[in-house]
Amino acid sequence: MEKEIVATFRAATAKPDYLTTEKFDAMLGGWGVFNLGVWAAANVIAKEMQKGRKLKLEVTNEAYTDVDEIAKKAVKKLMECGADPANAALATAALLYWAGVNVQCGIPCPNRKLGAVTRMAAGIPSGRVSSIPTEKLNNKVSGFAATLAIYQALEREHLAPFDSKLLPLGIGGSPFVGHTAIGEDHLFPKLGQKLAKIGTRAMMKAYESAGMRTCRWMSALMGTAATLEIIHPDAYVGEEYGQFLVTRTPEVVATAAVEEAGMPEVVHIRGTNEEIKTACLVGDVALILKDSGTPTVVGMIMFNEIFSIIKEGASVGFGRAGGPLLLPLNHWVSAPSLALYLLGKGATQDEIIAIVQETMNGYFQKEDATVATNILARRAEFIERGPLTEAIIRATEPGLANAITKRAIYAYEQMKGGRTLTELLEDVQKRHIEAIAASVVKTMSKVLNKDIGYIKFKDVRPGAGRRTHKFAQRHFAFDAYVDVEVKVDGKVYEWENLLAKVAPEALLKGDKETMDALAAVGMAITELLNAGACSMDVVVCACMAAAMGMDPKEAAEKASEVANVMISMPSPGLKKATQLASDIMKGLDF
Amino acid sequence: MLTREGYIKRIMVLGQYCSPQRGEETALLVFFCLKKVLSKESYQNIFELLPEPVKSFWENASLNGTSDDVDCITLAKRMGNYPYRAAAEKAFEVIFASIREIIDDDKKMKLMDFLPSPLKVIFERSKSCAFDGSAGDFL
Repeated sequence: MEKEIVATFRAATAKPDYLTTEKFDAMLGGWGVFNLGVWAAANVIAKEMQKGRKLKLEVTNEAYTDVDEIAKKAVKKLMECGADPANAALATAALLYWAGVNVQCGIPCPNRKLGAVTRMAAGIPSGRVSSIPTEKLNNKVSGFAATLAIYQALEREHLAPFDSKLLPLGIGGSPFVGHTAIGEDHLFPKLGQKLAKIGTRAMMKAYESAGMRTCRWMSALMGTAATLEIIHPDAYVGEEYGQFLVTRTPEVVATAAVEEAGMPEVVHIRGTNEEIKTACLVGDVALILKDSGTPTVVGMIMFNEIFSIIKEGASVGFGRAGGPLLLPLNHWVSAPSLALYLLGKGATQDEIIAIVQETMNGYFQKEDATVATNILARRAEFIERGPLTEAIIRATEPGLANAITKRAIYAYEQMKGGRTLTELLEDVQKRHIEAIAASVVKTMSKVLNKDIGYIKFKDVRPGAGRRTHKFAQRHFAFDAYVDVEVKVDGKVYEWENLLAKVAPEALLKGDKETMDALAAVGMAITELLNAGACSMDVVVCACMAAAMGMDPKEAAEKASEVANVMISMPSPGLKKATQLASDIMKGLDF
Repeated sequence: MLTREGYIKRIMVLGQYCSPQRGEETALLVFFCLKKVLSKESYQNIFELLPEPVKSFWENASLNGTSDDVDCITLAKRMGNYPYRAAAEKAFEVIFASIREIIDDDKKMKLMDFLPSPLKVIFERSKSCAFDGSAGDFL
């Protein structure tokens, strides 16, 4: 093996930070994001599971259970990694849920609920659904929309299935209603389903009115949670709604919310295709949300990303970092959440590895996703080692080694053959863009059920003309210029300066045909705008240039200048990596 | 008298399956795998312990494909296309739980005696699969 290839491979992979334009240390506190904390907390929980701790809420006669203790450890770890206490509580509850903990068990004493357990582990007060924001989808709304609509409906009309004034003293508020046919067969399910529909509908309207695509999952979730603040949140129900000791009000309420939101009745786990009843999931998670305090928007992003292990993903609203797009790395928690779920189900390490590898096929850029997952796992191991990161590293290390080596060999051969770094990167960037286009064509044809013949990017560069600042002229993410041609169902669309002119004009004019056609190409452009989550194409080329004698600083600067789409923002790790490649070369004496 | 539909519905609940089809598939798979690994004598003895409608499932359980795997769970994992071994074990747990609910204690003991050792463990574990966290202490 040539020294240059060894030096390049080692320099590019020496630190996880070198293969991304993102700043890993900044993910550890201060501004709220805490995805590395989620990776670490998942390891904390996994280690407790391997000790044989009981991950179940039961009506045992003890002040604290194993779940309380595990929750405290996970919350502490998350807060050490920068999570706000309410966010730590909510993320812990979501992780414990996937680990296999039931969301509630209850007789009057004890009555344990997972959301409350983790909230108390964080030592914070309870919140209300009206104060819970949604995750950010450009804009965001909050559970206030659901709560407002529900209370307005309660004021406007009588929603209970009977005249409440008829309830005598000693009956209303007692088990006479709550634990009998009146409550379980009539009041809770009937009122609950009405309220859930109202709340869910209001959430969907709020999303639309605020300029967003409706998030069906979050709408159903908030609609259900707001309802559970009003009706008995964990009552058994009549047999027509579900079997005794199994079905409670959250699932019944969520059934109406799921229907109102237009969610599929069944969703699936990524990598395994296991089925989950959507109403059961929404009911469970709404009960967590109702009890777990007042998270921030960033907390809700993380919470939602923990649910990105649901295969239906962003199309329904379950997080966005599970694929197919390569999102900024501060979103990514799918792999540890999935590994934790599998561990809770009893899967072995080898089985977890195989399934995590399978999920990489769900990304437009499989190799980049594999590398991104690997570097996050390696960085998370700095914080908390454990069985999950170990399995994820094992799952992704072969893919990383293969991807970097292939690129290093290609760069070596090209430069050895006389190509300059500029020529090499122009070629690599062109191929990178074409590969994304091809992958999006394949996937989106299925998703949209349309015949997408091709996507041809004619010109992709910074400087669309919306901004004059030189920074925007240099970096794609800040003023992206895109000319593209796409063929959809036999019709060819040609767009010049798509992002600055065509798309805003079509949207503001209500040009549905153009917007529908844009759906075929939109994901590819988003993928380009997100570039940088994994920057291996650029890093490997720049390191090879440095290994072959180019000044390391110059190699990094030239690479940033030429690969202005692939690393759409400045990359602090690039200069360090090229310097290391140069240093390694000087030390190789074979 | 438990009907076929009622039995499938109960399997759905025990396994948290999303459709009756999934419940029926699971029952057929588990019974098929048991038939493959049990001796003729054990097979007959268990058959006689089962009430309807389980008996008819047991009798009719047949699947396409080869079945030369060494153990029942491996066979079930492959035939059921389960993503990991514990998911196949869960299928047995669910079906065993469904049987435990409809036969008396004496028959439970006898049935367990006819099972191979690894399945005895699952049969024992399956008694706790049917209830939520609120009921364990009372049942």
